[in-house]
Amino acid sequence: MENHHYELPEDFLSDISFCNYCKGAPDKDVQYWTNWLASHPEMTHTFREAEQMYKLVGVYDEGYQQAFQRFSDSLHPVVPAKRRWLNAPRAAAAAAVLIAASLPCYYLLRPAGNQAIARADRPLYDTIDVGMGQVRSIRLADSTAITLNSHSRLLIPSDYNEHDRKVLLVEGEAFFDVTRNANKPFSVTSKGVETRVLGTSFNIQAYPQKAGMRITLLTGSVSVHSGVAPQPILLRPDDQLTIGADSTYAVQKVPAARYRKWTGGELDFYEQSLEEITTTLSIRYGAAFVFADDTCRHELFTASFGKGEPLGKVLALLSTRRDIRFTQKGDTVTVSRK
Amino acid sequence: MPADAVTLGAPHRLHIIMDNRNAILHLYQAHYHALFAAGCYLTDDKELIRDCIHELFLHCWQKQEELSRVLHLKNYLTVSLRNRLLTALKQQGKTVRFEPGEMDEAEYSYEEILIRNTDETALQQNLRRALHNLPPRYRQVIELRFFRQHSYEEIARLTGQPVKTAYNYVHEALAALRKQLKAQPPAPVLRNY
Repeated sequence: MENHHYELPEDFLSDISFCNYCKGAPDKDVQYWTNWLASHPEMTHTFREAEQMYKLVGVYDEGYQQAFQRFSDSLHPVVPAKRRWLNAPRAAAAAAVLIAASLPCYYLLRPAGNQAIARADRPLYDTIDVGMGQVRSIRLADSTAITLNSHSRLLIPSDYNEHDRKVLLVEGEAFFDVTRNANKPFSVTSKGVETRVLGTSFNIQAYPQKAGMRITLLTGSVSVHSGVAPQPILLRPDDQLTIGADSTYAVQKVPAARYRKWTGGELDFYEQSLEEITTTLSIRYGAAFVFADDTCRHELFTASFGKGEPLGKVLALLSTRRDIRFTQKGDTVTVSRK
Repeated sequence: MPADAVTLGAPHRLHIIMDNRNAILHLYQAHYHALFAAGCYLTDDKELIRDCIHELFLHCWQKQEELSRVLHLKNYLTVSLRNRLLTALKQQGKTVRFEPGEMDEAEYSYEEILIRNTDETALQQNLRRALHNLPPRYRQVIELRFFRQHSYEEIARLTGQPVKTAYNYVHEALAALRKQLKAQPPAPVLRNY
């Protein structure tokens, strides 16, 4: 089973470590396969197919994370030191480091003080998962509205809106329309970056398939606390903050309304490279893109597609005005020059 | 693939120093899902299975000297869980097909587990049909690997084959299952938003 060649879903599924990844434990397998996928983006489709098939065939507990949390808490009925320094003024920076090191995120989400233990049998947070090709809207207790794009995961602590309003975007893209409440600040943490707001609407894109992340503000104002800048970065309406994989960042003015169009199921690209566009398409349609000609990657497009447009039509439109050819074979699309 | 991923089921004396909290958490992670699956063969009460696993590991944590004498850890955990579950079911006045402490074959079949697993979706119906259409020897290895969560070494022992053959069998069975699933009309769950 060493030096395995992974080509078909069964190649993954017959690997015990991959099955552990699907079940969510042990951590080392989860980390190994998360990294594996990140370094083999061309295998995304087969990988996801294997994952789906495992979830169908395998017997495992979907309540595992809560069970593990409960067990782990009961071993240590004392507040661990880690949590105390999380409450210190530099909490945001600490949080960023924690997430970047991909430690379990529940340290961040655990309510302060001892009530966490008293209610250990209650799940500490709710998980919202949105699958391939889906868009989902939810409304929280404080009537804040959140729309999640394909392949996204959001964690909401069970004490949301009790003292503060903290959520965690584990991966994916989400649009937030936050109800104003100065007493209970709202914050989203994603890829180690914390975005704090009072009342506003903004979009965060943080897919693991795409390096870095993007925060776009529509109304109100937000402050972004991250490891990349010594001071919080303040955003005004129509500002877009891009944080690169190398921790560089830039703020530029954009037509922000464009960045929420996906919430209605539309696909919208504004001067984006074909490489970025195909990443978005592969998340939305579950197709794998292969570049036969690397020069195609950097072609820029501005394009907009309506809700529920089939992939074939999208590709046909993208190729009409350029010398680019898309060859669709099953779920793999090859990009080449005409 | 992490090097020790396949060795979990192998018989070995436990050398982990148990005063290390991480060691018990590591054990918990490594065995949880297999134990949960074993529990599913006895009852459909998921909360009860979770509670029993919780108590079982707490017991291991508190009685560390007992665990250090265990030869085959996975068997020890599985048998302990069965006994806890059966005792709990009996206390609840549920019909128990056999007594705690007995190793019996009268468990639920994997088909029964699949059926009562949830409000059955179209996908699960497809799976059941697909499994049904597989040759029995393929069905057996799928059950051993994905339901019982046995390692390839254990499957080899149970079916009297070399490990490599057991591995190839699972691979072939998966390919056949995937073909069967593809042959079924696709379930309308993905891609409609």
